[in-house]
This record gives sequence, C-alpha cells and structure tokens, in this order.
Amino acid sequence: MIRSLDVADIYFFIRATGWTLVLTAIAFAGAAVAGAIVAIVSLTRSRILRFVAWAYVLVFQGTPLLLQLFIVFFMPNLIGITMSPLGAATIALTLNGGAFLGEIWRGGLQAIHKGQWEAAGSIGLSKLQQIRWVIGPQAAKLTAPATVGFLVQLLKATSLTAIIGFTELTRAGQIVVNSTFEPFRVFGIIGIIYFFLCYPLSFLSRKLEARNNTPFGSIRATM
Amino acid sequence: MNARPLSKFAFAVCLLFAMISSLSAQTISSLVSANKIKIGVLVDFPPFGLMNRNQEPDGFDIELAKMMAAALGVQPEIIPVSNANRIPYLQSGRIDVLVASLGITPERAKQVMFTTPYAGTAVVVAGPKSRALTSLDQLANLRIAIGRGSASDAYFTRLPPKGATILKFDGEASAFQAANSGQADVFSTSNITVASLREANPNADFEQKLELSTQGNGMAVRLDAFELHQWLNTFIYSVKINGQLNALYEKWVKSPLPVLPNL
Repeated sequence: MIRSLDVADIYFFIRATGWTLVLTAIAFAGAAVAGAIVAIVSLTRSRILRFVAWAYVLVFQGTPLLLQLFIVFFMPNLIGITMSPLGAATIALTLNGGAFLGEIWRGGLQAIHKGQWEAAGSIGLSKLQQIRWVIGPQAAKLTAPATVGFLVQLLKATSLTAIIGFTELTRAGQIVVNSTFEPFRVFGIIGIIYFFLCYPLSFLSRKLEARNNTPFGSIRATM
Repeated sequence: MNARPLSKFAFAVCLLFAMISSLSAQTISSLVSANKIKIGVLVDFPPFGLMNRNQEPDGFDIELAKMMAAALGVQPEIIPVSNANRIPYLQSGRIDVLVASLGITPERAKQVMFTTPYAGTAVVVAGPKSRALTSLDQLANLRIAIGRGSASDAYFTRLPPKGATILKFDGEASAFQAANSGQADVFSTSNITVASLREANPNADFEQKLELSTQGNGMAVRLDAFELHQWLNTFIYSVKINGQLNALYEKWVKSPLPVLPNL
C-alpha cells in the first residue's frame, strides 16, 4: 500500500503552502494589533492596566501555543459554539503573537532616551502623539530586526495548527511521508519551500537594519 | 493505529472535556433526520487510512466508514484527524464516530466507548536478517527506533526492555529509515507496516523478528451514545458474517482478517 511520490503531491504541497502563508498573514496582522496595545498599555501610569498587560504576557508567553490552539478550538464546542479552524487559529495566533510582539515593542519604546519624551511633551504633544510622532519612529527603527525575526518564527509556528485540522506545509509533508515512506525526499522538499518563504524575510530584516543605520534617518523621514 | 494518542497536556484537557461535556447524546433518529454522519479517519496510516493520488482520504477505514454510512442510510462526511487530536474531535462533538484504527484499551475506554473490533494489528520488532532475535531478553542494549505516539510507543512505555535505548521519531517511516541507515539496531511498528515496507523495499535488509502484542481496533463513539454504539456493533457483526469485512481487509491489507475476540 505504499505509493510513490508524484506530481499530485507537489500540488498538494503548493496548496498547503497557501495555508501556511494565509495563517502567517492573519497571525501577523492580529499580533501587530494586540502587540501595539500591549506595548502602549505597558507604559501607562495606570497600575491596573499595567498589571493586565503583564499578566497577559505572562500567560501567553508561559504556555505552549499548541495548548492555546487546542483550548480555543475545542473548548467552545462544549458549550455549543462551533469554532471554525480558521477562527480558532486567528484567535490563538493573535493572542500568542501579541504577547511576544508587545514585549519587543515595549522594549523598543522604553529604550528611547527620556529626553525625547520630555522634549516631545514640552511642545505640547499628548502621550499618544509623543508615541506616534517622536518615540514610535525611533523605536520602530530599533525593533525592526526583532520584529521581522518574530515574523519568521511565526511562519514556522503555523505548523502547530495541524492539531486543529489545518493541512499546512508540515502536516502535508507528514501525510505524504506516511503514504510514500520517503521522508528524506519529502521533508527535503518541504524544507526548501520553508527556506524560500523565510529567506526573503530574513533578507528584508537585514535591509531594514542597514537602511536605518544612519543616525536619525527615520526621524527625518517622518518629519 | 492502536496508539497512545495524546501528549500529557492533551490528555488532561480530554479529561476536562469528559467532566464538563454538555453535549446531548446522539440518537439514530437524529442522525437519520440530519441525513449526515461525521466520521473521523486517519490519513497517515496506510493501508488503513491514507491520502490517495487524488489527495482524497482512502484506505480500509475510509471504505468501511462509507459502507457503514450507506448501511445507516445517511451521507458520510469524512473528516481527517490525527493521532493527537482524534479523541478530542470526538469528545467535543466535531465528529460523531471515529473509524480511525483506534486500538481498544481500558485506558481509552474511560474517554470513548468502543465497538467490537473490526480490524487488528500486532506490534512487532523488525531488524537485520543476521541479527538473532527470538526473545524479549535479546532487546537489552539495543537501540530501538519507534514512531512517537504509535502502538510501539505505548508498548515500550509500559514495558521498557532493560538496558535498551528507545529512539522516538515522528512517524513510522522515519523509524524505519533510522534502522535502515544504522542509527538504530532494530525498529518496532505494526505487522502491517512491516509487510508494506517489505513490498516497497525488496532489497533492504530487514525482517519481522518478534511479535510483542496484538490489538483489536474498534470504532469509537462518545461515552453516552448507546444507540449509535449498538447500531455500529450490529453493523460490524453483519459485515463480518456476510464476508464483506474480510473482502475489504484482503483488498487493502493483502492478508486474511485476523480472528478477533468480540468485545
């Protein structure tokens, strides 16, 4: 009952690659929104808000993404709500990614010298305006490599959505391996596909770093 | 696949499901009036469950599942599941029944209700022809490759041979490759997988050595689905005595259906 690897399998991998990309895009968009909120909330004066942000990061960095996917997908069924796999993946990847991205961006905002905040405040900008026009652009420059690095991690982490029924790239590989018993060839192909998805991102990261290496370059750009 | 299906945390979550499950019990009439039965199957365990060239689920389990739905007079909805998530899929109500080569064990029977077995497999050890291996004692000091979550994994977790090193791989294919490339001395999998590997690798140096245990695979329903359970048992009984089950087994597994004690 072992069959050989054939062209249909390659189409299968291409479709699965589509899922990997869709999940990555959704996850990054969701994580960016959640991360921005976490980063900003972590800098507010309100102790309660800061505590909530801290607890959120603690919980979602401290538990495996696999478990988070599992709970979001299966738990609602028990109270009669059917969660679609895409919905569950969106929620879990957003919440998980938000915790990591939030910490990266908080670190970036806090790394900007106090004098910049004071200077921005002295010309009458509100806290959010300070972040938007003065601190944010400088922090973005600092955190760009880490953010892109996170995106690469996220792309690979989407393989965990196999637990809730997605046939993304890694799962597709496993299915074909178990029918063809050719792990070296199949995972070789899968590895190459992952590389060509991740390499451009890593390349982009280097580019961003190089471009932003001129002092105050990004500030002039936004002004 | 008669496997230990869940990592520890998943097992804990399963128990939680079992405790707080509020799903209403399914009845035959509710399935018939919906004209649909959702059946969970494996697609990575040939010849029982696999993806065929058209990338559709196929295999012994899948054909039997379709036959079962036809006998019930409803449309089958075939849903691929994996070792790790098949029991949660059933417990959370995403599927009505598992026809997923699930080995019957008392441990699992705390989570799902098994039908009488419809197929069976044996856990075996295979290795190079030159290696003398006729008793369990001879496994000492060997490196044994197995697929994580497989029946072999369950067996060796329960009865680890003294001094042996268990190497766990993601899937039976990788375990075989490990033994074949010399990273392990022997590998352990089902008798059926060994037969398939023999067919696919006529020149590779390995043969079945030791039979460790045999296990029957049952269909599984939720713990409270008595009506469906009884109907499935009746269905399995009928395809056993009319020869359809044996013919299907011969078609996919290329050997006669083992005699299985009834549950």
